[in-house]
Amino acid sequence: MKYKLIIDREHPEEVQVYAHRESSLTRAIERLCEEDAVRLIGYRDREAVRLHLPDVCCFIVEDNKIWALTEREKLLLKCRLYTLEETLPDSFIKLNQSCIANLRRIERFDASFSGTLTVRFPNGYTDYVSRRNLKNVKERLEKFNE
Amino acid sequence: MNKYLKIFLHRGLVFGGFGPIILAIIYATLQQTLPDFSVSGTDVCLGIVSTYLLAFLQAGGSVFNQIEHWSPARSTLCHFGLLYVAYVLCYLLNTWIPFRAEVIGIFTAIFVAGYFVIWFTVWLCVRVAGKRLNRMLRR
Repeated sequence: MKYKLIIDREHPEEVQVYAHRESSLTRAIERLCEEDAVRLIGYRDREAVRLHLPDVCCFIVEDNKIWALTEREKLLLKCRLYTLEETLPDSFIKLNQSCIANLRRIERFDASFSGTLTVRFPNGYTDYVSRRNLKNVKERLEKFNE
Repeated sequence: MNKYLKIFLHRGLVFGGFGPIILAIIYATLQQTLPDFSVSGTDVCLGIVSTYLLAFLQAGGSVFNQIEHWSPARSTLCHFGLLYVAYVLCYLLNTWIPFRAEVIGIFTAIFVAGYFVIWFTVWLCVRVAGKRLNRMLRR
């Protein structure tokens, strides 16, 4: 597929793809655009930082606060987890009541001693997949691999 | 009412009836196979009530795995504890096992082994599911 970039400060920013059919490439472009459309602000101490979603491993609830975990840092968010879930693109999926994971950032799945499925991220953070959300995780991964 | 208590009661009420049904099947089988098998009305009543409660607690107890603010170890321990107490009491009340320490000890050993086998099966299934998801991730 040919790639063409037109830099024009007057024209509204948009991505248009001419393809014969939908493919993994078109879906990847679509996901990238969706991720770019989400504007989230995280707080590093008192400094506000715009979150780059592909860098976020997961969003977690800790001490009744929402945190975004990247490979290197932990940023505070000022929103609710359920509102966040609604705004995030398809590459993010709820693992349990207090964790939303970036599927692209999952390092691996493991079976824990207690019989639950745990998820490991590149930053070393681990969380578990609740039985209620396991089916959704499988379906989302299957969708990503189509 | 607490959300989990509601689920506990709901599941218990839905599946509680399976206890007496299984008891009836066992009684019918014993009747067919043992020529001098007989049970008194009191035994039947006690059997029905106790197996209903057993099935009720067993079905309701599955909610422990869904309580997300509990650690997996805590929910497993509570699930095990509830089932163990329910089974021991049910067996003792119906005099299916005598009230003797050594018999209860053997029953406990068999119960722990049975629970472990089921736990191991679940763990294997989770492991297989994990491997499958890992293969999807690598694609």
